[in-house]
Amino acid sequence: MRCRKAQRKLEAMLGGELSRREHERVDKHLARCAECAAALRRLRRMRTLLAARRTPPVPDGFQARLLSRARERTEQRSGLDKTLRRFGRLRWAAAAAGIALALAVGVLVGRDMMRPAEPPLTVDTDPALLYGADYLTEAPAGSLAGAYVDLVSTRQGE
Amino acid sequence: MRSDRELMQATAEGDMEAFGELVRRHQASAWRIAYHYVADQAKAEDLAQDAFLKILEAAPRYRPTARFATYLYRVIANLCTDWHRKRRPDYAADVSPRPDGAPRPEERLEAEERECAVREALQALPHRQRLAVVLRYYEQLPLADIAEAMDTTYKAVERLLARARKSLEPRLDGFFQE
Repeated sequence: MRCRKAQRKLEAMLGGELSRREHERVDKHLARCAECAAALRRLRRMRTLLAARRTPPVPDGFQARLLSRARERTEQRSGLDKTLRRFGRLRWAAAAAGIALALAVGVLVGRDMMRPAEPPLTVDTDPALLYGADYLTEAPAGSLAGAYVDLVSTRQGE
Repeated sequence: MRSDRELMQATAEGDMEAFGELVRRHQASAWRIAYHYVADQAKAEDLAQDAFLKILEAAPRYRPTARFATYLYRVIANLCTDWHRKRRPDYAADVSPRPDGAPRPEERLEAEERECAVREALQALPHRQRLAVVLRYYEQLPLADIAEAMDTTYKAVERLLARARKSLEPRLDGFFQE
């Protein structure tokens, strides 16, 4: 085993993560390599130093605060779900109303289209009356106004 | 006693008692990782609580492909990554209250000095090296579990730890005890 490989295995060896065979191979290398044996000592003292750093206890009330936040979030989420469900129902209602409106418009337009065409308007009114020129009817015969009335009037030739 | 997997299933169905039991079982781990990563009690509490809230939120989608603890480590590792991206480390000393029966003043001073040096040296490490160190030396995780939590390979974890130790050694020289 080369030094590089042996040194890479040291961490796993101290953690008890090497197979028995691998452990024996590293041990054999360490017995005859001062450099790797020194690396193992450095690794051990590093682990000791780091492990000496205290971990404060979990803060008082940690769980209570966490569960309170969790309940708050769950309630918010269920409120949001309700809103979304309500919105979902409204969306269906709006869609149904839209379809009903479209059908109603369709029926009205269709009915108009299917209705038989109305007969053309017949003018049974004296055009002179229709165009508001009835006041000219009293114009003296032979005058320009009289001639105009004669021209447009249905009474022409009466 | 219900297993973690059963508790997660119950949590997914809205059983807050089951969630509370999961928190009771794993809060010390979450707290330890968060505390040694951020080096600040208030921030560590936020981070550890956020990890459990994420787990609660994701409970309906949880698939028990690995141990619950491994899942928790992965969630915390991701939160540490987010925390690192969003905030700069705060080097302000986080002085924990002294427990009863604490050592004499001079011994305490020496221990505090050592602890402060370790904390600052850890905080100076790049994010992934620091996370690997915390998972290895404070949570005592096997290398394979660290690789899974950090979504990387076994060899990459070995390299991260080797580089971290190389950076820590000169910074902590003088505090080592033979």
